[in-house]
Amino acid sequence: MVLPDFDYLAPKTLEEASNLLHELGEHAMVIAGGCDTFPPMKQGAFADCQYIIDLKHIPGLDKIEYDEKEGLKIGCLVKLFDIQTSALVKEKNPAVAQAAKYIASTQVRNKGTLMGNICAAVPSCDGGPILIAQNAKILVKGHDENRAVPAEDFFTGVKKTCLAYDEIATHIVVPPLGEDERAAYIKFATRKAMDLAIVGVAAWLKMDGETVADARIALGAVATTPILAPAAGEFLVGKKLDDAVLEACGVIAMNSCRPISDVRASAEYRRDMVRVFTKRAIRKAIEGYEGDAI
Amino acid sequence: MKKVFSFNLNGEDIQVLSEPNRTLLDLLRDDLGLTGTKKGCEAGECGACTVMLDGRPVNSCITLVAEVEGCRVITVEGVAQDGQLTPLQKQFIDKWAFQCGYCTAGMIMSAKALLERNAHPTEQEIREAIEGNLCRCTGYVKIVEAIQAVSAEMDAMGWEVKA
Amino acid sequence: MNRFADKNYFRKPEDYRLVSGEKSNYQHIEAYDKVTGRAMYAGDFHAPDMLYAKAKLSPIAHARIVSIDTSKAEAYPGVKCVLTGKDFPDIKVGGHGKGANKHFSGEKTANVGDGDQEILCKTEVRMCGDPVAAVCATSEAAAQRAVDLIEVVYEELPACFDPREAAEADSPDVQGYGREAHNFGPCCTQLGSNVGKTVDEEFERAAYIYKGNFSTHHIVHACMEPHACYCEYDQHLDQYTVHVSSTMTYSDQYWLARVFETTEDHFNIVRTHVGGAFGGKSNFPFIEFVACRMAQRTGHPVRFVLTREEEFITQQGRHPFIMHVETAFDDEHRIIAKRCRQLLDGGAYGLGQVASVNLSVIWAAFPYKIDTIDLQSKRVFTNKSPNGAMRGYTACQVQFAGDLSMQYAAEHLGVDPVEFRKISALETGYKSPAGLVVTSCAFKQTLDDAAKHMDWVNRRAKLEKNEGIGFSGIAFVSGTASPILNTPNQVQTNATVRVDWNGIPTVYANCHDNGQGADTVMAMIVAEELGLDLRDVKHAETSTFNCGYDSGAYGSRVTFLGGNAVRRAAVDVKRQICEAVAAKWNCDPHLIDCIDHKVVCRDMGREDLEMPWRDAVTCAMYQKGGDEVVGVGSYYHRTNSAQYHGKPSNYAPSYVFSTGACHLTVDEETGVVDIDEFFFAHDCGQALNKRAVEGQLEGSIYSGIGYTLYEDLKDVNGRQINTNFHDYKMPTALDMPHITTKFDYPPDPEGPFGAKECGEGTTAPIAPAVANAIHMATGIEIHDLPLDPEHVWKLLREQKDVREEKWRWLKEEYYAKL
Repeated sequence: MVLPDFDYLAPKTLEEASNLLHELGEHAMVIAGGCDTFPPMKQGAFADCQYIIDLKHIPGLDKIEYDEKEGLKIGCLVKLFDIQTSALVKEKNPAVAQAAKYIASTQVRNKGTLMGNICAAVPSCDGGPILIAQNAKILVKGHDENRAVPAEDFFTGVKKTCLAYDEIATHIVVPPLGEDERAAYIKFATRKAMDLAIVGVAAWLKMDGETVADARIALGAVATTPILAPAAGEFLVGKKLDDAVLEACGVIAMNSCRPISDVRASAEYRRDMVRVFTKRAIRKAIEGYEGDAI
Repeated sequence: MKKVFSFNLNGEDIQVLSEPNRTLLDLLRDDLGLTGTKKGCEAGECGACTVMLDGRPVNSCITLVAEVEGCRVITVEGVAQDGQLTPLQKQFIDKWAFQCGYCTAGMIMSAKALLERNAHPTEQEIREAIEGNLCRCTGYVKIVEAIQAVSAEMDAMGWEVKA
Repeated sequence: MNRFADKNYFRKPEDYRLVSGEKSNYQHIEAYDKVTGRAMYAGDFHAPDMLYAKAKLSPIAHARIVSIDTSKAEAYPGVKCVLTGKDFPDIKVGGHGKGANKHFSGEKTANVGDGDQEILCKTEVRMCGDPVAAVCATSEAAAQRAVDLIEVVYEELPACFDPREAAEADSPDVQGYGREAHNFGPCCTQLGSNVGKTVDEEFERAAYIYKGNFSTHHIVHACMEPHACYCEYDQHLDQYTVHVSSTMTYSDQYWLARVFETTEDHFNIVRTHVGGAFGGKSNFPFIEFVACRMAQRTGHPVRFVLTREEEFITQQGRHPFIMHVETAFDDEHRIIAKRCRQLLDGGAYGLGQVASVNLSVIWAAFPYKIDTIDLQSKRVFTNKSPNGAMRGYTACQVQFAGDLSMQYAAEHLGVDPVEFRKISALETGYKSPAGLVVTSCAFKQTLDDAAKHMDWVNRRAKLEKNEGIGFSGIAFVSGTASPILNTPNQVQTNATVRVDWNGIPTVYANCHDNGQGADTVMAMIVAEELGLDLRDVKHAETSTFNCGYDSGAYGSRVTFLGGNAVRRAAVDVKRQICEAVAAKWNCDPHLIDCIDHKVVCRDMGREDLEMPWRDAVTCAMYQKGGDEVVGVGSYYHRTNSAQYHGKPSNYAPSYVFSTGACHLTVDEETGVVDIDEFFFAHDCGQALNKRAVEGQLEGSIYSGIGYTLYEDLKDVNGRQINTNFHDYKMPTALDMPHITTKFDYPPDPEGPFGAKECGEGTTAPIAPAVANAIHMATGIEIHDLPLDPEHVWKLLREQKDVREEKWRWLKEEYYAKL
């Protein structure tokens, strides 16, 4: 299997990378870990790629930071393995650590990044649902101006994002989880590792005692992009989470997606699994990750 | 157009002349003759090509030569020190932790990376460390046993694990 | 003197020193090379002037080739050679029973099926992935880009993909046979009775007849090493040196000689490390012929390695089966007769098709005493990648149906499923109506051991909902009848043990080591017979030029047939040494033994006589005028070709028996099956190398769990759609249960040191054990594989109305009242 004849460029600053992209246009591709770039390339994708712009040599993008107000800020070069094992992430937002751990294999997580996972934008990407459910933002550096894109608006189609050709996604910012807020992500796949989600469900809940004050449910692998299931979240508001409510919420989530049948599962099965894992993700959010070996 | 890339391979600083679109795996196998690192899927899905890159296990089939500029790379050929097998290799032998041997190099690299990070892994942690290494022969039983044994052996002798 | 007539030189079972006890945990001979990365596989060979080969594959399942334009490929920079079908003669490869020496063909194995595979297709492609052209170039990239420039015009032909459809007379003709029912390959029917009855008569008197339909799916070997070949050509000698990922090098040599229209002495096939085979590397892949032709045309070494996708598309897999089974029981719950009809989906080519139908009727009666049988298998061609031998050749499918039949019958008759299997279990001494002779059998013990390990009697009525324990019993062959090529006296292995003047014995045996430890066991057998340590014995790096015939690593034959040949060669050495030393000591050579690096005297009153091994070798060489001590040995298992037509014949020299048992839980909402424990009891006679046997059993469980719960090669109109390791799902280290194995059962009288098969048929009990446990956990009745989450979820829904009741009945009535 053969990669296209591209040249490799390693800018030392974000500015330089941005200029290169602007200058080289559509034929340049940005990589962080490259794990979602090179395998499809070997299969014939991106055949017209002439330049690989590797961000790895740009200092400062490999940090995980936390701010009580802003929340968790993950640089685009932070490896998935470092998110998964980060004490900070596990403490402040364990569902993000769990989502990172679900992705591919130990080897891929030691090279690949969460930003790479969402920029590849496959419908089953595990990074999508948990970021959408938590209303995370993607910080984007453009050639002329910068912007912050809500995770929900980041994905625009199968393997497509809102990024313009000369934009670089630099950070993921996940808002802090307040005392009364909970989040969880469950990936359902055939294997326990190295697999793609049949469905992925993320839940974010804001509780008022035993009642749900606010909620967001996001789904993966059941549409062209990871999606928010607004009706499912809204349904929970003002309710106590008993079995009947969870079941009803699962059905609403199920009815809010239009999955396809493919080699991994039938649409019918996916829909039912959305029902099942919506319930389980909500339960997991309430239960929390304490004691889990992520 | 070929370019010069410098990195440390198995303890030696080297310079190679390579096309920028060449993978580390192809460079190791075809240009440097280090065929211990195997090609199984070329898509980062089988782990046969696992090497250590700055201490981390990565798939060399989806790593460009260009990406390892300035890094430390260890392949299975660089595991034994001064002709001496490491405890990890010895335990792979003693426990019959391989059959056809095609996944073995990758397994050893994943296990080495684990033990350097965590000298006393649980069985679950061992299995997670090799989750990206497919083995079609052994059912992983003896591979897990071998890695457990290294940890126990070094512990009993009061040595630091040097996998 | 016929050296085999004198059995006195063979070590007696009670004198085994090495193969029993803790000492039998030998290190793998290849261990050092494999943990340091030095072991060379075919695709590792490399030379500075080497060329890389790539092939153009058909994207259509069935088509006429209208034209092939290779001009752009030929002009591409770096390209050295482009081949198409016209670069090969009209010879199709495949099939068994070839190579008879015309002068001694008095007793031939059947020439069972002619070859049907073109090296590169000339006029027609029969499946997606059929190769139509090939290129070699100075780099892999150039070869790939040149292949992309080859233009092939196809005219699509009607194709058939469903084996039932292929069996119809008016279906598209896959192989172009033209005759009525044109897609049928071989058919095998075994009809017979030990009691002089027909199946109809026995069915008439039966107390109960279980009837069921079953089916299995398509999976592939997915060896971690894809098929690879490296070929060097010496123009001066007109000689090819071929390193190929093959487990059947003599057959490779035979077919290369045919395709190159020359003789075998031009092809030296070197036995290299093989990165897993499981039956998938004994099929003469087109890459070896293409690489050799390119090496010949260019004068450069050529390497041809398949990509993972090409491996999936072009190489063989496991036959999907459609089965109808009827089993009759008498009022004592004993099986009295069985009828089955099995349809095999062969794909586009024959491969080892004769064995597939023959073996699949043998398995249909296993592992039970069934005195009256009417068993039939038919194989049809379809426009898909071909199916052939794969770990437990057809046993994984047939015994899935057979064992589930037993489970359901046991429930119907209200008998404990373990005890029920014991009622009809095969026993030592039984001769089946198919002519199979059981020389050693511990099947009942394996069942008892499994039941004990699982604490079955105490737990069977106490399991929670969605929790189940399942058992299954199977049998398999230990070795095969056919030496593949038509060798003199049907010999399967020719082994030589050479002892040099330093006393170092070297084994020459071309038995392939795919990782199962074949070389280790051969050296061990020699060490045991000669009273040496394993490390004293060397294993030669062999090739078809420097070593005697071995038919290959298939049919679970290596330890049994190869091992016996090696053992005879070692004993031949021992006889010569003992005779020489006896002459010096003036005693009966039969009273001399080789033990602990010494030759010792067992003659009463002269026990103090002993001689170091090396001195004994010197003594023998003096007596032989300086000649080296060389021992030869061979082994065959003689049957006749009638077996392929269902006539009674003892297919294998011995048979093995296993019980699999597992405990699992089922997630009712998702259909996910979680196996937490698997126990495996296997009667492999005497285990020669315990670690290796354990490894084989653990690997079998892995392979079986993959088959049952994870792997499923899917296609749409013959085009495979999951040709990668993320969608073709083999279990990872996190997906495997806790495994316990047991294998200390009595030795077989004929096996080398009492050893029998291990690691192939042992894959067969997994699927039925898992299915039976799921059935117990949920009440669903299972008839088809695979049991991946969606399939189980579907069954749970489809049987929603009955399964609750069934589950309650199983727990509260059936198991509670046993």
